[in-house]
Amino acid sequence: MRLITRNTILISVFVLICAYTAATVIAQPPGMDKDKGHARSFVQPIFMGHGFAFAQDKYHILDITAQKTKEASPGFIRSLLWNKKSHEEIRNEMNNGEISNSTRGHLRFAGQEYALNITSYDNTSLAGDVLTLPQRGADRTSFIPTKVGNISLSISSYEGDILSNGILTMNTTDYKVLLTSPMALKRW
Amino acid sequence: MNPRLFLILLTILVTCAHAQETISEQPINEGQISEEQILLNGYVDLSGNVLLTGYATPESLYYMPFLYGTNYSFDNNSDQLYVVTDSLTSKIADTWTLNFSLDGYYSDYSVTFYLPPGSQITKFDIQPQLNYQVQVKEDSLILSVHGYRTISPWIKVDYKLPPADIQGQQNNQITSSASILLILLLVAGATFAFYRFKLHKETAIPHDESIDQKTENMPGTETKPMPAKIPEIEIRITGEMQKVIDTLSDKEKAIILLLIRKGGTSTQADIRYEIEIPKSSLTGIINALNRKNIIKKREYGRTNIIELSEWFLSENKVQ
Repeated sequence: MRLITRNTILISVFVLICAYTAATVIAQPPGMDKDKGHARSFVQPIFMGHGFAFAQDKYHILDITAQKTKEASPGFIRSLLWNKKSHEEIRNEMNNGEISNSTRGHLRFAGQEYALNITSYDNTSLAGDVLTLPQRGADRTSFIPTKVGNISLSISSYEGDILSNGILTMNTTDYKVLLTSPMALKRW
Repeated sequence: MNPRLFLILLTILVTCAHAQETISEQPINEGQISEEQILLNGYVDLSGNVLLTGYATPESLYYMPFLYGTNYSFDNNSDQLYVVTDSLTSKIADTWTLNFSLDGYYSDYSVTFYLPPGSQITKFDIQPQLNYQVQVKEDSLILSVHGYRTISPWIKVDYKLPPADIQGQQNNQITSSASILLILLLVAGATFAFYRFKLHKETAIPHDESIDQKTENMPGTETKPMPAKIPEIEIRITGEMQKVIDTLSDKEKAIILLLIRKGGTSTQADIRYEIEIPKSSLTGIINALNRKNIIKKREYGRTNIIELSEWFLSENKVQ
């Protein structure tokens, strides 16, 4: 009696193929594919400047970083990693999809860190609100930032460098601002 | 040149060229400190892989030791770095460590890591000059680190994944697929076993007392231990039987001899498998033998049981 027939073999092969397909398609960690389709990632500098803020005879060191981010959903990124996508494939996935931009910025004034909520920017200007940040290492999740000032900058080329000047208002005090930017920013 | 050797050398050359991708130039003059800027996002998955992407000055790549030996891409037009690496993370017991250390001097440093959802940071160890905050969002624990005019910045964070995620993560890339495959292989095996059982059931002959009696009463037979379903009794071919057999065709002979070998009874399916006669031909031959009263055929399930006739076994006395 032959128990291993051609049909048996065919059924076994079919089931094995189904098993493999199911394993590769289904076996994703929970939630990994939630955000598929609307995720991008790209970080570009909008502005980087370092200099001083003056108010009469007072002055403080001022540093500003502003960046534009094409926000990627971390879940989406993880799904790409899970699928063993290479960095090139991930780059293509990000670049080929729709792009949703957001901006974020930081500012350090008088040794104190602040968040910079950018309200407008282009190649020659930048404006934003200065917001409080929680203490170093604190949880920002439930932190409600407070607006403590605003800044308005005019960006131009000056003596071969990028120079920015404008007004920083902090707690009702107006400061004149003079900043230089890294040479790399010239490209932007 | 040996083609194999040539291929090996070619492979080595291509690999080396690929590894050199963008590190073919010396970064800066020795002794000169360049001022770098990085604005990077790092996405950490459950298995410790990290996608690091964002803006970095070209020279800063030389200060990223984790890039060596790792495939990455860097767009010289947009200064965008894309790298997937597992060298930024390590794991001891159930604690993961994210270690992001750079060389060089950075006038602007901003790095945001997105740890897997549910991660619990157990220890921060970050360069004092760097400011950082954490934030929980629905799909990540976000660690934002930024600083200005910092030298050789470093971040070391210990974190734990929630138990379910730990299991999921461990299962994710290795065990999960393997487990599912194993389960489905078991299903495949069960299907196979079921099919085999079904086939066996269809072709099995029930223990038939009449057969036992018949074979026991046969003269000149030697009884052997009988299987539960198919009695196999040696039948001695008498002279009369041989005369009948001599009148048969080769295929008919083969069937009769098989039945004799199998103690006088077999299923039609077994006969087909063992003699390798096509099903349609076998049916005709069986019918012919039946007409000649050499065999008897009776239906059993989806097959037939073929038995040597009493006439044939009783040395042709009946005829």
